[in-house]
Amino acid sequence: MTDWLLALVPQYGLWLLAATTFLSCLALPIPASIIMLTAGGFAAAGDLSLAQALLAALAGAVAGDQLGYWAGRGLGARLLSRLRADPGRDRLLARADALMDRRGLVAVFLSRWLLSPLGPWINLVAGSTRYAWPRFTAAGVAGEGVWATLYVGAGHAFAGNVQAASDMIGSALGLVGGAGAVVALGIWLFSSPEARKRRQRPLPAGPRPPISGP
Amino acid sequence: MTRLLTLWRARPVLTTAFLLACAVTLFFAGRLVVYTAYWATHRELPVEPWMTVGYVARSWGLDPRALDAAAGLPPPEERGRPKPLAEIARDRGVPVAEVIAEVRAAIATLRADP
Repeated sequence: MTDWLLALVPQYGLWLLAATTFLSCLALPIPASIIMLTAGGFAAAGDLSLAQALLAALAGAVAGDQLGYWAGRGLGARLLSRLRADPGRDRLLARADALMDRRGLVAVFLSRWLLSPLGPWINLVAGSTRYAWPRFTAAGVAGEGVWATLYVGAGHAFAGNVQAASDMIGSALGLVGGAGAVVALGIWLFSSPEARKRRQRPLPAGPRPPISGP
Repeated sequence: MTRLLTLWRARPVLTTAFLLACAVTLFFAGRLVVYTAYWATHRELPVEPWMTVGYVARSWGLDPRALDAAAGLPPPEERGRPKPLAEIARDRGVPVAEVIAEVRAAIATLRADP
């Protein structure tokens, strides 16, 4: 099925690319990342224009996000409770909900590329909880821009070697996610009440305060 | 080190999570380095039916028109869209494996005698 789709890329190029990212933003099982990587490869070979491929991928993804948001907004609570009947979806939706509550902008931005399986569900939750549309759209377009640039760009850079590009993207995303977790957990850990207390009142054989002297 | 131990006694779960995140980050950093080294020396892709001549040529660092000529393939049509090898085979009424074999042979010739 994937090979068949790939053969259509030079033929229907931009429309196929936009349709793929559109559908994948609706949580349909479409190999959008492979199509984007291959489109980048065709762009490197001169069969597609790189700028047009980027724009097509971005346009499809943004349109898919908007459909998800407005579906959530229009159907609201009724749709959500039906979707939540499935335990797998319920788990994803609950995580999406918790993320939106705490930090909506960051959640929308990161769920476009770093935590992309959450994306479609964040769209629905954002719409049904009437999260502000301009904020949703701004963070969404920025995030999809990163997503499209990452995949189409990697496909271009690796001259269509999809395996190489996806290996590199996988490692790079893992690195970014891991480093983000290190920073977040580090801040939490080293500025927690216990740590602060310890710094003010060091144990006899205990640790030195972290920031002292030059 | 002592400091980390004190922290771990105070907040075991959070400290473990922090160390795990460090390990995951190091793992992916290592993976990135390994893949970079590997793919820098393995650029060439096996020829597939969905690829166009341009795609194959790009992957093997060859001139696409030279590849066309060496494989006996038709040059791209004026203002036409690029064709995957599967379609070239269909137009000629031959199995795609035959076209792929011709392209492979052409790559070998071009590689041997640039």
